[in-house]
Amino acid sequence: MEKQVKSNSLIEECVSNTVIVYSGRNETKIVAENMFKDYEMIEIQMPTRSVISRIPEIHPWMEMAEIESTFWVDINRKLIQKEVLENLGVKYSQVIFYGIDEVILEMIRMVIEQKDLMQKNENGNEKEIKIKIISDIYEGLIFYPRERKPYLEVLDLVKNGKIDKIYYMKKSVAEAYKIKGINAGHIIPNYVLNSETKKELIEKREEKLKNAQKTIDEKINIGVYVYDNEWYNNIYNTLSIGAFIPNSLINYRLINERAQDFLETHNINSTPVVFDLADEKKYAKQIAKNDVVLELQFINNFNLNYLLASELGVPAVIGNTSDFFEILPNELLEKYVVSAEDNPHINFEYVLKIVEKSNKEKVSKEMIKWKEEYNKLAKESIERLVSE
Amino acid sequence: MVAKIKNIVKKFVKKDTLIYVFLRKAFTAMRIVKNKIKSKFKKDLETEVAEKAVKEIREIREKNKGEEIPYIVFYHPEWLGVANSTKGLFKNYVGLMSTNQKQNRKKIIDAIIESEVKQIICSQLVDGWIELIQELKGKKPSIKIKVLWHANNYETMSDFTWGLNKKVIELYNAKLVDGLAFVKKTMAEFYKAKGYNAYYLLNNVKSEQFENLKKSKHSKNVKKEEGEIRVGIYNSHSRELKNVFTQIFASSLLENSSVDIVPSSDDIEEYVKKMGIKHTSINKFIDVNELMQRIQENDINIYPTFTECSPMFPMESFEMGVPCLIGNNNDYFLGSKLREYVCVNREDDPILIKNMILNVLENKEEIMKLYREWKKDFNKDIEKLVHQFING
Repeated sequence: MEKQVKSNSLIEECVSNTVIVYSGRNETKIVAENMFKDYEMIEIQMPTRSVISRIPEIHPWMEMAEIESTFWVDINRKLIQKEVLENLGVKYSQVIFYGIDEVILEMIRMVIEQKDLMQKNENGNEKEIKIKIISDIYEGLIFYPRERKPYLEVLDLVKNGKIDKIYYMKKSVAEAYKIKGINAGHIIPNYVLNSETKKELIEKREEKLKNAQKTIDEKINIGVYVYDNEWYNNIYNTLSIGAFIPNSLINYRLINERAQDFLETHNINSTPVVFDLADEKKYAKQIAKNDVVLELQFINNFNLNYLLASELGVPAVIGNTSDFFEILPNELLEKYVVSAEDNPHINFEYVLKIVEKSNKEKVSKEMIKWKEEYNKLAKESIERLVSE
Repeated sequence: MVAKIKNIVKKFVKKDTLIYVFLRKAFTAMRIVKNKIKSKFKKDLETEVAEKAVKEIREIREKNKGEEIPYIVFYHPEWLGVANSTKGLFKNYVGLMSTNQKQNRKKIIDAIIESEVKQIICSQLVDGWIELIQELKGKKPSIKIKVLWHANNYETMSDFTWGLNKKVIELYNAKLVDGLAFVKKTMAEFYKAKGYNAYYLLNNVKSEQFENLKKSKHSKNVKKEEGEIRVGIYNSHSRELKNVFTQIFASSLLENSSVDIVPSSDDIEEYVKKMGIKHTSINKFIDVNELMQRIQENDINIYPTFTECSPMFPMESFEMGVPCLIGNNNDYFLGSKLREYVCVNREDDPILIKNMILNVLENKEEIMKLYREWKKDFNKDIEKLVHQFING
């Protein structure tokens, strides 16, 4: 059983003596910055996508050897030295890493080395330094060496006690590692919208729904916003749903030419949009303009679209590899969880059901209510992580 | 013979003398000339295969003894998945590789026309087959041509597959292809929704082919330890969607377990070593018969991948008497309680997979009975689907 959440004063103490070092790659960055916005945060600089890797369309990262030949590792080393190591044991007694990759691993090693050095020198007067890590990957996501190698190294560090605990965003993965004797815990992934943006967009939506003219030709706006072209995003099976709903309009984030080509070849009504997911207001506005949002990845830790959609009460259909309803069951919302993400000929029916007038408002209100409860659980989960 | 002559020469002619050097150069020149003449008359592989295909078409015609041949289906014999799928569904199949050379295409087309077959089916598309289709339709517009497509829309990510997919659509829109079949229902429904003449098939395995294999155990099979649970993990090494690391991890959660992995890879070996997982493995593909004999040693096989069309391995496993878990990405066992036992809904959940393995082991007898009942109906259903496709 998880430990009870400690008192407010202890949490405040943890907030002030904890630093979050997080990876600046893709959704990890967006979610980390939101979940830990009350904490000191240091972003590990990552090469941008304009940097060429050996197989850019599949591996947008650079291999470590290539990274080392650039200035990225040096920049991050200097950053960690100045912001973390010089404050270790003074300002910070806890370092939490968020995300696993080759660069973060390098930074972890630096902090461990510094901790070991400090503990040697303290001669019995040592202040406890905790090192924890939140993993954004697990077995379903380690096919490529770029993920698997640092992941296995991190597990070794947890096994030999150099990292105190590893946290997973998938409950069952945390449970599985506990069975293996690894000190593992579960953290609830979350994204909470800025309250002003949330209020503004919800009010606009409610106004729009009140004034909506119900006609036979009413278009169904379906949002498909993937971060990138990663295999697990299951983009094309998701976009295929448009083929089954003639009066639909797929609003999709344009990430490459292929998606556009696919939609045009199959004559699926669509509108591409270009925006940075890190631009919260733009992202939220995009979500809000849809009747339904689709989140049908094969595997994902964050399900960012669903988290945002539920903040705004935008009905969403999601794949069953998410943990949301394991964490907080909801009879109504669970009806819109698909069991096979690659079956658009079945999944489109979930879309039609969810946008039925009688369901849409009910689902919308239920999502907002559910998300408020979920936010509380997620907050407690973070407090537990930092205080244990 | 050449070696004998060389030895005789070496006995009588001193090395590095002028005559020795002359003879050595003469031998070399003769060998070059011989190879050039040989290669001029030796057929390239494409031509060899094309001529073999012509022979097979004529054999089909002969076998049908003057009756109308309803179809001939072409498949690439080295694309094992496509090959097994084709042989499992159809009777009149012919192996054919690329047909980039016009004279080879002409031979095939002439043999097709001569056979008076009503329609040809291309099981996936190979290099040169687009031209084959175009030229065949040009010569005999009344012949029906259909394509059996073995992928789902996930594969749009691949430049090669998407390029081929678009070519198939172009051929259809140009009325050179009359129908499309898919081994995944969602694909057939997708194309139907877009107005295509689309059909649904499911891969099948013929039980008879496994009867002899079941009787023999492979001598190289590694014996299980007493009380050990052995989990088989096969054909999962090559792609991210095969979810191999979850499969291995989940299996390792069982007490006293080991995993058998074929093919394995350096990446997989690194993982099992780091994680301290007991395993046996072979780092390459093995012949399917050898694989079938090997899997008999297992208590269960698992194949919970993220996306598929119509994976044949699970059925092959059941045919060999070993239950197999599947991912929720195909239409097998629908309507049967069997699906509840073996279909993994959350493919990335190691605890779920572990619990399902244990549940299957506890209910193995019932599960195998359910499979046999389901298979009888399934065989009939597939015959109907193939019939609809052929006659559509």
